[in-house]
Amino acid sequence: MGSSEGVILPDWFLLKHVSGLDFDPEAWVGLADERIERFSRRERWLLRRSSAVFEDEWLLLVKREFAGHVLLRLAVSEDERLASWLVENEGDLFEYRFRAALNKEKLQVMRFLFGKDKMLSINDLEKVLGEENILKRFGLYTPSRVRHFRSGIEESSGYVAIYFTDVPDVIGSKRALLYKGWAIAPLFVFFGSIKRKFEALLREKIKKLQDRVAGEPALQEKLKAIRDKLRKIAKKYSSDFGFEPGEIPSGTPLFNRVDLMPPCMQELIMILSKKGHLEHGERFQLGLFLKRLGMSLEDQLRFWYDQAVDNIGLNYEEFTRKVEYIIRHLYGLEGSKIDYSPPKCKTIAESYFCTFAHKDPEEVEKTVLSMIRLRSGEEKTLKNYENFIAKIKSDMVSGKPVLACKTAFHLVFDKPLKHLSHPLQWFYQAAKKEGLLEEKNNKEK
Amino acid sequence: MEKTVNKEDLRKFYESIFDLKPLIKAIGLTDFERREFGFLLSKDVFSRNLSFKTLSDFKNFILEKLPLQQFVGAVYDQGPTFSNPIQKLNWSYREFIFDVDLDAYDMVRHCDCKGSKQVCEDCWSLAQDAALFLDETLRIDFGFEDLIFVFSGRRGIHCWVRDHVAKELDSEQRSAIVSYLTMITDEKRSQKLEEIPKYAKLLRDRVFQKIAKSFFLNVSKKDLNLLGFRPEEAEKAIEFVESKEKFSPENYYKTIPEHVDPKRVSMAIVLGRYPRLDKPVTSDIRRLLRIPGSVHSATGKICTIIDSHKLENFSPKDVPTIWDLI
Repeated sequence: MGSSEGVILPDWFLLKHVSGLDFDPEAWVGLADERIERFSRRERWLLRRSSAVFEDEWLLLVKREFAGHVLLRLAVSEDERLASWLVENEGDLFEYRFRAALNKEKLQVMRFLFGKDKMLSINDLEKVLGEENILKRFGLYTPSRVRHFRSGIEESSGYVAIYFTDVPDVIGSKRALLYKGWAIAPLFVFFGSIKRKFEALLREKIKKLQDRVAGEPALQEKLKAIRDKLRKIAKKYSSDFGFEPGEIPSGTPLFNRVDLMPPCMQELIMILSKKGHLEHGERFQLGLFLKRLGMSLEDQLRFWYDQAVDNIGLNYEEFTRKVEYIIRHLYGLEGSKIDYSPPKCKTIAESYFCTFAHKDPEEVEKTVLSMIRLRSGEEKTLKNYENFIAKIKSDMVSGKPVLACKTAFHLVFDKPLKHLSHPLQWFYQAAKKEGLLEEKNNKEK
Repeated sequence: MEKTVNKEDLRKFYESIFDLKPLIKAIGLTDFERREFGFLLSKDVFSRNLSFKTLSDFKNFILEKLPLQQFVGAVYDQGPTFSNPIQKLNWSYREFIFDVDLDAYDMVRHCDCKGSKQVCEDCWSLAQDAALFLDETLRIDFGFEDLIFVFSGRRGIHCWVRDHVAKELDSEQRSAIVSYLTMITDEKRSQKLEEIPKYAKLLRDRVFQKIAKSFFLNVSKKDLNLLGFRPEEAEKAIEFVESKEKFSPENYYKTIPEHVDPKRVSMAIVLGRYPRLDKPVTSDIRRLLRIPGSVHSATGKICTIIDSHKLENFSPKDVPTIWDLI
């Protein structure tokens, strides 16, 4: 992971070392509590010093921010699900702060996350390669960029170079110029990769705390209250979006109801049925979604086998031997044994496959029509169809894929969708509309 | 009648012909004892999770079992065995490999070789184009330096990238590189085309340079007519391309008459000549690949390392069979 030697990091960056932070779990519980409350309200806040704040006040503020965060790290260290919840929320907060940060701070953070040898300004890249005018040579340099990105970035081009090993998502989607191993693109192209790096590093740090917590029963006791509170929130969080395996009512397994799935998942299933396989990231996206719909490991193996055209000549046992490891990985049974949660919409739009972020608006109209057809079994003229489609296209062009998706839900199910930040939310609301999911209090009767 | 490789042929081959040098060139001797091997011992028996402490042990095994085909895999934290298979071991590293198999081109091969083990000069040029494109992309775009190309023994080319950074790439990184190189998916059925990339400029220019040139050198005038070229324009375009030793993207744009839809032409170029890689072979870090220097039992031909300076002139018909050698 990136070296922090000589790299000055901004105060809002929670993975930096903060000196003078004396561990005091009792005093910190309130801070952790406050942090949990803010996350559960889906708040995102900046840590910015105004000119009215004195130095010692500011340091105290920063320490309080870190204290709350560090105690949460400890609290979740022994529970994979809670750790995933924290990583997701801290990841979103990090992204929010990163986007709002000055370019100079962005570069500091990137140098830390990727390492000074894996992330270079274009000037430095030219020195390393012994070449000149790389941007101009490849037609990437325009004088207007100089004025726009002047502050903080050397030679002010807005472009950075990151070594290809660290940005597989950008490489795979061909969103950068790749030259001698360096992915060269405007900084915003790497936002998804940067967030993933942060999350991976945070996860590593949380994992390292497991042994510490396990070895200190007194500390465990102090963390219990926080953990219980987090479990309640995490349960509500997952029940807002979906349901735990085992809570799914009997009848047709919900994971068979492709017509209730969001567009991204329906398309991945269609691509899978045509190609016989999916790329790594797409497999991850679909596999985790199906897992959360209650598909067991055995169900998933059967699912991928049935879809795979490459299985010609392979019987089920042979196929299982080949792909079982991959599927077990999804279920947290292999590799680093993390019980991954399915990525949410924002992450999907940045790093995986999102219908409204990655397809042409004209193609999307066909997608939405086929979804309507799948539900109704026939072409149906819907009220205000043209208006809905126009809104979807407009949101897509404006770079708002989640809004476009919400509108698509409204069109397909004839019901507005209040919140959408996760594909499971789409499914959950669709299943409710169908009457397939009972409210919890009715079930208890 | 087609000859088949029998045990007696293999005995003679392994006793006096089989050379370990190509294997050593591909994988080196470092960590040999932690390397996985796999063998097709008979038509229905495939054995993997095997490792050998020394080259001699490896050679003795070959001489004893006379395998029909030989494969080599990744390096693990220990040498795999039946009781300690690769699933229980920690993966250490593996050369970065690519497989260009002509059966992925069946829908665009015009010769009679479809689906069979045959390959002719015509369709072999597709594999050559793929190898040359791959070579340039891996060197210039990714900065790799240590590459070898190997004729598989039947109808394909393998590329081994042996740079240190390449060996340590994980599955996600390998998949990403394959995705970078992919423009056609579902090659055997719908042949869905991706857009020629806007931002990956070097890759883009290479398509309009290498692939476009090869397309025009191999396309028939009739096929150009179908794309909208008038007969005299088709002839002129082919002559123009033939005359250019160094064909540039700018030259490409000049070959397309104004009234012809450039998107149709670029789609035909990609469909017709763009490299088709076997994605699972590259993405799977535990994959076994045919050992250079070994025999391909389906053809009797030797899996042969191709001199990188002679990629353009290499032909499978020049490769000896086991019967030529014993």
